[in-house]
Amino acid sequence: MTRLPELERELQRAAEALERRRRPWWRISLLGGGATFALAATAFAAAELLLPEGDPVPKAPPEQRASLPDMDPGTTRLTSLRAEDPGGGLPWGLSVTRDKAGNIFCAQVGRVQDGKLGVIGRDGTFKDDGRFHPLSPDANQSGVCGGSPPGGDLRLSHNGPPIPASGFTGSFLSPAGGCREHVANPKATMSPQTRRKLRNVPVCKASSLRVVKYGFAGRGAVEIEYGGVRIKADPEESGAYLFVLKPRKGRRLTLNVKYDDGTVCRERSVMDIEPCP
Amino acid sequence: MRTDTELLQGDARAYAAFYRRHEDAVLGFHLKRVGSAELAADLTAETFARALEGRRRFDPRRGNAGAWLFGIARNVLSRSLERGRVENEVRQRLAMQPLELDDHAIARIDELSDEAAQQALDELPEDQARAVRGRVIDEYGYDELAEQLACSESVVRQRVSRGLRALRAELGTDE
Repeated sequence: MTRLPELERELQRAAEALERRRRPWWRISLLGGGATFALAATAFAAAELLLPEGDPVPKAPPEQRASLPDMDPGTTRLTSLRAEDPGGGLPWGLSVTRDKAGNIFCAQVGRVQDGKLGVIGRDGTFKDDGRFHPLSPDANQSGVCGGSPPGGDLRLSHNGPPIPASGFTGSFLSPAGGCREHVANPKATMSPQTRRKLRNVPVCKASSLRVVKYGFAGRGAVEIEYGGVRIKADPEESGAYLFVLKPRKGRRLTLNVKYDDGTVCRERSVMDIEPCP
Repeated sequence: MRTDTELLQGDARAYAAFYRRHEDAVLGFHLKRVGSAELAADLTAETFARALEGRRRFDPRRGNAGAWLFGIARNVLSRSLERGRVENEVRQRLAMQPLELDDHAIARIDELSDEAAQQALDELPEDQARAVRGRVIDEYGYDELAEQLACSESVVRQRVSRGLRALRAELGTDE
């Protein structure tokens, strides 16, 4: 007896149905008098798939940590903001952590599972193990930091190149692995040493890359729009925003923030920011 | 005994026989990776549904049916992980009913992980297998095991450590 006799029966039934469908129409007509077939679309409970949890993302190397603010892991908070991934799967989230002196805060993005921020073992990361790997504030993962204003009204905007859908933005030469950007003419742009170093690092698939735009527009923000996606700003989260899009060639993306006093702030690039209140 | 190719090219009953032949292997494959009997059963159902739909395209000249089936299983698993839910498109197309698992069925699937561990243990070198069984299953102290196995305590520790490392690697729990 099989472990799933019900599945065996269902497969046999489905195989019989396929055989009937494959018979020539004149045989169907003779046998069933021109029977019509209606395939019922059975509703399946969409089984929620929690990824098995793997090792945490390794910490940044000491030399890199030395140049970073001394973060207080106890202050890390995952904001309520979530963004869908264009390819589906775990949503993206944004977390904030303050430094021990309380002068600086840093933001990190990644995929969210079970209230935790992390990365997925794919796109060369963690040998494509398909697991969820939690992120800590001192992990080998890039982020963005800004000054912490006394009232806690955060203002910060991150700009960066597209990142893999794994959510891992740390070094692909770290033990976590990862993929690298495609370089059209490596001989012209990279030294032989660099080329040797990158020889075994896979190139990110274009379909796996995501434009991830995130930051805090402040409590006065009412509405935030980026790449055609519009969200309502939450003053409780200091107008946090997070957009995840597929990169498109030639698309010029602008961040538009509407404030409660009617002013609009437009950010096309780091060097092109109109005065915001 | 009919070959896998004959079963795949045969009628509905032949496909059921193909399922019976490979059920444990595919269930075990998914169970090892997702760690949940319910999800493993769901992934297995979608794997065999896809194999059923595509069985006329199976070409034995390009490899055996087992490798072809595991290719499908890997694909179902990776797409499901990417999407965050178990794929069910083909089962829907074939109008298959969703599985309802009772405790007995779940327990029978979970047995597969024990069987895999037992098999991996049996494949260890004899000295390591005896040390691991003695320490982990029978819970003997290292000193007692050293006496039983007529070697020093440090040798027992080394055998247990090597054996466990090999088991973890075999069962994929050290990723």
